[in-house]
Amino acid sequence: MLIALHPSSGVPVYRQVLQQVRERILGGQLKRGEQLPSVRELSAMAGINPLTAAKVYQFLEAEGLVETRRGQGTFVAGDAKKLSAASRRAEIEPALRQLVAEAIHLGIERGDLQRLVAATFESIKSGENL
Amino acid sequence: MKPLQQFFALLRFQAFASPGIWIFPVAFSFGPCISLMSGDTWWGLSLPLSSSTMLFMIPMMIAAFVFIPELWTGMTGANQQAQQNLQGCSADFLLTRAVDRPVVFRARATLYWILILLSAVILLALASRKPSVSMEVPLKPPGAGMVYLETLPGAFVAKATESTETIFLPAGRLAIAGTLVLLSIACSAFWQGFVFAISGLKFKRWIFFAAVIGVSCSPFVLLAGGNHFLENLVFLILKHPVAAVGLTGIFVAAAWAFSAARAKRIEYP
Amino acid sequence: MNTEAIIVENITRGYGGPPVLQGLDFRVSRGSIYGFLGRNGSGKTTALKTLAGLIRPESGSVRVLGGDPWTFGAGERQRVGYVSEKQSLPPLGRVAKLVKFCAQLYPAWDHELCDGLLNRFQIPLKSRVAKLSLGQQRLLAFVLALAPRPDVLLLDEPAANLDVVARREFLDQILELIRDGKKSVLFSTHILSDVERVADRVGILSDGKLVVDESLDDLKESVRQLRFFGFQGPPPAEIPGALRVRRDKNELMAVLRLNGPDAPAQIAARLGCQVEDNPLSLEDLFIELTRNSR
Repeated sequence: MLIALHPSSGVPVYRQVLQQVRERILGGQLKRGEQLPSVRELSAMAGINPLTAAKVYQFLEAEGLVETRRGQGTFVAGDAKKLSAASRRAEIEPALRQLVAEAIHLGIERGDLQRLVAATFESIKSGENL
Repeated sequence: MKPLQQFFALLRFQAFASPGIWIFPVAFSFGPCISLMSGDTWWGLSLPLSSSTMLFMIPMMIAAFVFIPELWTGMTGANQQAQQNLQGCSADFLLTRAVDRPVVFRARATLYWILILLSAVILLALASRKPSVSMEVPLKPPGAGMVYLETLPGAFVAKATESTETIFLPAGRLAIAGTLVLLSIACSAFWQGFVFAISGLKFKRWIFFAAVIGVSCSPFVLLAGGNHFLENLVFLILKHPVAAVGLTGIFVAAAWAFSAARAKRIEYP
Repeated sequence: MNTEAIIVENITRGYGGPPVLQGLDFRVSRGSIYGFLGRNGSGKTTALKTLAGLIRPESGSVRVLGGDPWTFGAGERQRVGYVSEKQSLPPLGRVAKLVKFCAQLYPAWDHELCDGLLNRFQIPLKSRVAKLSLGQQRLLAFVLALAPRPDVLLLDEPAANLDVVARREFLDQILELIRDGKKSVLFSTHILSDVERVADRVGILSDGKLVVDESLDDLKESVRQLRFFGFQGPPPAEIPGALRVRRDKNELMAVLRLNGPDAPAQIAARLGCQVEDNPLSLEDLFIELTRNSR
């Protein structure tokens, strides 16, 4: 797993790694039941403190995205897909709140905002399929 | 590592970490050797004693280099490189390795005494190659020659003229050399103690350099007050050799014990 | 065996004038990398020297691996490594000889690691130590402290003369050391990005004691820069508890310590305005926290 880090950004390292691993799980790059690197391996690969790596796995486990089997390692949770809806919402929530707050501040009506979102959705989605 | 192994490792290391320190015994004994070995006839003790200040001062410098090399850090004019070369081994490197502090002290002290005794050996070896010397003593004031006849074994009057008499001392040079060696050992013990006594003080650099200046000026002071202090001391030692050696031995042991105790408590801020 | 590799309890230390350390108190757990920060003259070197057993605190106590470092003998020192910016290595010998001397003192010396690192850092074995560049000497000192795989590594400005590549390599080595979870590193530095990269805990030393002593993650998540705007009336003159407040017309920028993720919204609600939340780098945090002190 290749992790891109920006240690000097205001976002703590664990959160950066957490987001990237979460994206891979939710996006399907890491399959259900697939084994994740051990804490040591993750810390070596990403060049991070092993305590940070351990923290990432703790958070992932709390979110139900991974499960640790004693003596075996850490695996992507079997029901990752099921919980993924809630996790995905949690993932997008900060950006969503910011967007909505900004829109309100700029005086954009709810209806207009919804139309804007739909249009942007289409344009990006179709851009992807090109 | 066991203390004994540590000791030898440290001794080897200290000896070669700053090889420049081996110059000292040579420098140390150069002057005294010259003055002690020159000529077959002396006129009083002023010649052989003339370089004695070197014998008493150089241990001071060796003590500083071996025991408190940090004395030289931050000296104005010495750039980083020169400082490093002088330092030999900074305390906060050596003392943060896996060594026992007392063993570091013992290794350093042993190195110190090896250097001191090396010069002693050189001096004595040279003197024993030509152990005899003739002393030409003026007949006025009378009895000036008596002291030689009394203190030096085998001395006899070889020749007498109107104004002087010549006393032959079969082991005279060696005896004088021996006395100088004893005095320098006593001084070395003193400087060892001195260096450790000042090492905890804030103004140790100033105190040390004041001492250097003091010792450098001492021959002139002695000369002004009449040179006889050192001569009298020499005769005193020659009269009571056993006591002199014994006292020196005690002094060396005391200085060692004192510096060992101080070494345990030195801080390196 | 307790879990704290280093315990500093309320130590004081001065050098004749005003005390440099006044009631310094912190702990470093095993398996942790503690970044020790502070402005010049704040006492970081003094604290580290106390931990290395080179000086003693005037009051309070220091414990490294359960013992008092001042009284450490060769046995205990096997497990503690110390590198300092001001340390000078014996200059006249060759690198190889110095390495050999140190290696014989430590039964646990990792020759492979040592040789590998000297190679990686391109430190020539045959060179005299004095002929190495300052950066190379720092790296050599580091290798000599690291090779015995100490349980505690004390580093005082270790990266001062290192170039970017060497620094990165050096940080990787620190991470490698603690990977087994049993060893600890305490390092003081000015290079905050290094701390951000590897430390799990930071302490900021100011006026002789720690003004910050917490996990780096917590620090970054709790101290933030908030921009308050859209006030109905004039913005308030101050915000209680703010580390710094800047005003411009009807905007306020405040650096605050928050007590939860909802705090910005709560404060904004109370003030009757909107808020924008901006994260701060450790450097910014450090400046805000130490701007007005020593």
